[in-house]
Amino acid sequence: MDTNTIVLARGRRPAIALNASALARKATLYRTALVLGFFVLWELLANIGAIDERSASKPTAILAAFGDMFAGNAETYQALSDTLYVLVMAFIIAVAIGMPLGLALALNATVRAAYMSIVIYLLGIPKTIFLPLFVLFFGLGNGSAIAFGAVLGFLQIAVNVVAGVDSIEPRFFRVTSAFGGSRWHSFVHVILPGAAPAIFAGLWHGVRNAFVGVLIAQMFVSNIGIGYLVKVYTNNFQIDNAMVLIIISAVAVILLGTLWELSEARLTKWKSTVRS
Amino acid sequence: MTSHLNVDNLEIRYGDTAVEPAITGINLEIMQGEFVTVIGPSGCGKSTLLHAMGGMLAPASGGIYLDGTELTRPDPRQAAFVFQDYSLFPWKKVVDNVAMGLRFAGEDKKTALEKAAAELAFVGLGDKADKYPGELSGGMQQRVAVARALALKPKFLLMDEPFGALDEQTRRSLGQELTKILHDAGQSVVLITHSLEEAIFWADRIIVMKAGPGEVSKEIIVDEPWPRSLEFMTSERFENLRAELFHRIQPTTVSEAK
Repeated sequence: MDTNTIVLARGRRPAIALNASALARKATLYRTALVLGFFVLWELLANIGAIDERSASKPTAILAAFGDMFAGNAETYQALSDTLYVLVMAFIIAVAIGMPLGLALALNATVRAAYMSIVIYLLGIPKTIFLPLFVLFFGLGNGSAIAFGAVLGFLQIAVNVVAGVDSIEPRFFRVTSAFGGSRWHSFVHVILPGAAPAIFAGLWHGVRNAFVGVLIAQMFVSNIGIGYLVKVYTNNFQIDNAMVLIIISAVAVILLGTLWELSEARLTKWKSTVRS
Repeated sequence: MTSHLNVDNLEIRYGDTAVEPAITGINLEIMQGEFVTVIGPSGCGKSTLLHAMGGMLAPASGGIYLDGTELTRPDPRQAAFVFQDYSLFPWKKVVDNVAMGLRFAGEDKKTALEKAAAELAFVGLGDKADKYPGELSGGMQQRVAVARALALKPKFLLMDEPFGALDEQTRRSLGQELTKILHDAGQSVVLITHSLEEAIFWADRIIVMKAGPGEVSKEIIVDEPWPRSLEFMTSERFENLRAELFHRIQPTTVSEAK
């Protein structure tokens, strides 16, 4: 049996061996079948009137709307580019605040004792309630969306950095010291690589949270971007158009997540070699 | 010049002065090329002594002197460690792990990697340079840890139960192989072990410690010539030494158990 083989025990049946790549192919097939089945069922239910087409639309109508929206409709392209700009800015700010804050909380006992509880409380509070305050500070438009996205992102990043540094085994600091390493050596050779998997996870959660924050801000306190357009289309009962933007947002997150996973697997390749 | 490591009336305490010292009144002199094993019951301060020898613990009184100069902080070119748990960085390739100490000492990357590759070849792992530690067996990982220490050409090698995490068979074969390499290279070694056989078979001198507080209770010279054959392990002299060590560490162990 090669190392890529996974043994699955199913009840009383003898354990069966399934090659990992075969398992992946099978899983993809099942997943695709579920998604296609969902759309076919949606279409059927809309066609027989079991669901209201005016409020829920249907896949063929959304497909038609997709073509219309991207054929010479400058408004769609503008909304996409605005949202991308706002998200990138929000994420950059979230990283710029979240990473140093997380490192300070993880590495300085006084900073941790003073501020960690605040970060945890802030993380737990539903932040949408503060959205009107962002309008007061940053006005209607990109400013509020960037700031709100950044706030939702940086807390998650900071907490993950702390968790990542905490997860590093003390023996790695001991060996660094025993081999004459300085605090800087500990930072570069132990803390950053050792916490990298958790930092990666934190950045992913951060960008996802920032995206949520940006869309919410655009929906409620902005007049630009995908969020704003979804609100306008929904209010005007242009559900097909709203659905197109919702699906684009969902697919963008899925694609970003896949890219993230691939980058993480490449940059923290060692993780797969560590035995439990 | 012949190097020597001098432990002068060493006392180490954890916590305040009201607490009994971990080790006290330790006086030792270890000469260049000597292979010294340290044995004693659990909690007698063997590891504390070794960590102090490597500059990892500050003495409450007394000191550690290498060629007359007091060792106040870790200096792996003087005394380098091999730990029981290997402590290899899982995120660095094997060759980068071995080069680590050299890089910390300020060597440029190219030179450090060349020396690391040579050291890996010396311990028989020349073909594993580009692997990650997690891809190697426990025995191989411990060889890498030895190579990491040797790469710095330390005057003294401090080994803290280096084979303790290995199975019996690997422990024996790797131990014999590595100690032969170290002897042949004339490397000075201080090795902590729980195994009576290891303590006798590898040692030029055995330091026996007792607990409560940790002190040296006896030094035993093992004047068996090198290279040592497996017949030595079944000889009457070996059995006598084993019996002596057994009785010396047994009473403390029994009182600890009570």
